[in-house]
Amino acid sequence: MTEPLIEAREVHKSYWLGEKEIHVLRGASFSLQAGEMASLVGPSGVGKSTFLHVIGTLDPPTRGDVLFDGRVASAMGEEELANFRNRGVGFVFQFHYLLPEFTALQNASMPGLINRMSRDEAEQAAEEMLKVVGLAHRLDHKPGELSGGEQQRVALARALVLKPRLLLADEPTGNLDEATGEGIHQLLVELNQQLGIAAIVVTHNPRLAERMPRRLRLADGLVIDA
Amino acid sequence: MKLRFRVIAVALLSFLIAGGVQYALSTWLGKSSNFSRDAVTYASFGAQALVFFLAGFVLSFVGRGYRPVENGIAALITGVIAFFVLRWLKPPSFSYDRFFASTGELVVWAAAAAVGSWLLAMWGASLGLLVGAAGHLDLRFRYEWGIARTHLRLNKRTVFLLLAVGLVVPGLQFAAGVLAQASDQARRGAAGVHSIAIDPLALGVSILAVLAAVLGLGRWFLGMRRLAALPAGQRRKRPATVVMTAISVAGVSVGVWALTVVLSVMSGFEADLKHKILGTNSHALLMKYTSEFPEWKGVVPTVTAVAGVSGVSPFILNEVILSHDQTVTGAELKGIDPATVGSVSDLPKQVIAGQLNWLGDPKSMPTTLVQPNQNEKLEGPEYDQFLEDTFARREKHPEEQKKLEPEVLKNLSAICIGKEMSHQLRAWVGDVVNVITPLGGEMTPSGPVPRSRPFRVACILYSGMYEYDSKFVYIGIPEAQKFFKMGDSITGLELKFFDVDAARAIGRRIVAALGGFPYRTKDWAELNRNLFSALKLEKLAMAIILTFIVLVACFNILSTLIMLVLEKTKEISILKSMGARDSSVMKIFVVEGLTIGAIGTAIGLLLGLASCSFIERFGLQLDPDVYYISNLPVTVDGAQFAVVAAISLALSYLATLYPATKASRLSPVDGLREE
Repeated sequence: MTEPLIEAREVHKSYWLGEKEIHVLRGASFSLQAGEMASLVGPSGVGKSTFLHVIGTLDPPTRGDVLFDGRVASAMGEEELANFRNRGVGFVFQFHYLLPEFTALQNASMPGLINRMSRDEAEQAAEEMLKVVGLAHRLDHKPGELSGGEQQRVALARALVLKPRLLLADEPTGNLDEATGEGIHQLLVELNQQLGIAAIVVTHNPRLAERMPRRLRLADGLVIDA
Repeated sequence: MKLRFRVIAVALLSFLIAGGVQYALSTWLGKSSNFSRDAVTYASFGAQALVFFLAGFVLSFVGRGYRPVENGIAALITGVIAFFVLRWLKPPSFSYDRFFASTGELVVWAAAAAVGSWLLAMWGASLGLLVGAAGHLDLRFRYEWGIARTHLRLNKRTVFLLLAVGLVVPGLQFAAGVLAQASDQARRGAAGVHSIAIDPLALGVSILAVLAAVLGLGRWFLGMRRLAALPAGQRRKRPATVVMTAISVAGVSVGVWALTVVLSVMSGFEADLKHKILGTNSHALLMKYTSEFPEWKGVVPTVTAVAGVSGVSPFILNEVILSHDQTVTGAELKGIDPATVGSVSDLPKQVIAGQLNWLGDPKSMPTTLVQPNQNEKLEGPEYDQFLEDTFARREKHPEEQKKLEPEVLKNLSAICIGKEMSHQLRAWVGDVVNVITPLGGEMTPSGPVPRSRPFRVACILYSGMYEYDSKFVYIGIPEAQKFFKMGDSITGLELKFFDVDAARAIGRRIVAALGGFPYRTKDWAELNRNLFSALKLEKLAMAIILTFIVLVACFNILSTLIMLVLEKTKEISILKSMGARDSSVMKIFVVEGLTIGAIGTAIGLLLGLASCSFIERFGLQLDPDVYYISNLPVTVDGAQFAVVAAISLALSYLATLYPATKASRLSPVDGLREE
């Protein structure tokens, strides 16, 4: 078996809520191969978002290690972490979180600009990715002028513009009607097949979760294969 | 908390180097340069501050962060070392020529070293962090600027609005000044409206400003009406931070405005005073330590040959009493050479009635009443009163004049008096005044008797300096020598140079050319030290007080940025999840604060410039008896404006540091969690 793309070893995460410590993750372990696609389900408040944040190095674990390509995330410096978030992983959230003053093209080129690519380069990459998600005709629209599904597609293009090897999607369809959500899901599957990007998709929709090659469930602070 | 001892060691070393630089520089400059003591002090402490700043910059790379505790420990040790070093060195204190006398003063200076090194190092560290001291060096801030611009809503519309406000408001002020000038000209001129003569450029600018203001107001009014016609839901809402940003910009502009206007007026006072003092007095005096100076005619060619000297004239100075009819006043009597006095002062230009040449040639003075000269500078009720009391009175009541034989009158020596003295004594040109000196009188059984001699007023002078116009009287050198029984001797030589500010250096050269002792020179700054040092102190105090206005305005920037950071927490998190570095987030907010500061400063400078022009053209009246001058003077000094801009920008930068650092330290999930 090849080395996994991402691996969590005995990850603990807890928060302090006033005097009370809340244990969200209690030694969760799991691994994901390159190009693999998995759904993550679980009841609300069980810690799915926290799990994704920890996996994506946005939030350090209280205990345990997260490894990406065999490298321990907690050992990375600020610079390395920033590079990893920039190029190694793409995030999509329940809300699109696009910058409202910028057009779709500018929003999607933001990771490229953060990577200090030239503006032309970044916009070219963004335009290509917006074509892939089917928004070639909406390049110069601001988020306020796009529909919910289109906004989420822009967010997806933004997450994938620098061709990361991992996509972490936190209920990307949670805010959309069923048909639109279905479209986004279809797109995620296509992207996984076309670009070979590994993905973890958190969802509440059991029908969508069923269609994923691998199904994960978060319960009692542990991740289990369903 | 883990202390990084390497950081402490490097910090301490660099702080001590900074102290060494200051001491070495002040010693070296003091020995081998001609700089004044103040200049040496400023230069050496400036260098020390710079080294502190650079040390902080370097330390941010060594310690990968601000490291306030480590820097603080190093600063504390620096203070302690400074205390003992100062006690051992005993350098001159800044209160002139006194040694560090008390332990209390030593503690103050040591504490200043500690606090200064810490603050400056923190400041330097902020710059280090900004360019990526924690990661790798990255001077680019392109996308950061793009994001900062959206936070400030700096789109084309806003830029246009800023330009409109920033140019039209000062423009209107400028136009008001031009209008005031025009109305003043129309009022004074004989031809009414036709006597208005205004620079066409100024007129054009004013008309443009007024047109732009009318246009802008019209558009604003239309916009408001259109907005009011919209249903409530469609009106665009402005976030609170945009309003706060506008208020911050306004705050900085007002501060900069006040600072520039007040400093320009103070400079105006200083320049005006300098002009008047140097109009009546020469740039320097050449005198001897003894009172005898009979060989002056041989000295003059040597002095004239020294490079930089443009004029030389002899003078005699003594105190006398002047009387006319029943009025008596004390005066400084100055013997001058009417032929050469014009080369060292503006005395010939100050004549408002009579002629200065009559001093050397009293026989050519007319016996009829002399008319006042035409003088544009002198107008207004105060001058009319003066003419009423002197000239008109002489015209209407010729019988008040003492009757003297025309022959006797012809043989009297001539004297020139200042305008205020003329007013006080009610003496007009042609009148006879008595000059009384206690010196060289006859010895009688009851002691020496003061001598008195009649002089005929040859001219009346107006310098604009109340003190000079009420105290100085002038007679010819030969008359003065005779009157004071000085033989061929004089008090000294008045000197004028091509460059006023080189007075001290040229003075030294002249003394050297004459072989040193017993000759000596005193330049104008030395002669009027009290006045100019008081002005300098006043200006400094004003600058410091008004800088507080800018400081308060920068607190506005601070709170605006804190609000912005709170408003944009989510955005910061998203940017960080996309890989934005801490330094990038910091850059966004520093750039924002600096932009607010820069826009405010630019508007403030323009306002200041317009106000100065307004004051200059409007000619604000002052009571000349109190202020020496009749109009509020202004001098627009480019360097001064630049310093104000630099201070304002530096303070804006400081204001950004806290919110920018806070923003950069936000964790990516801080903004994502709260839904």
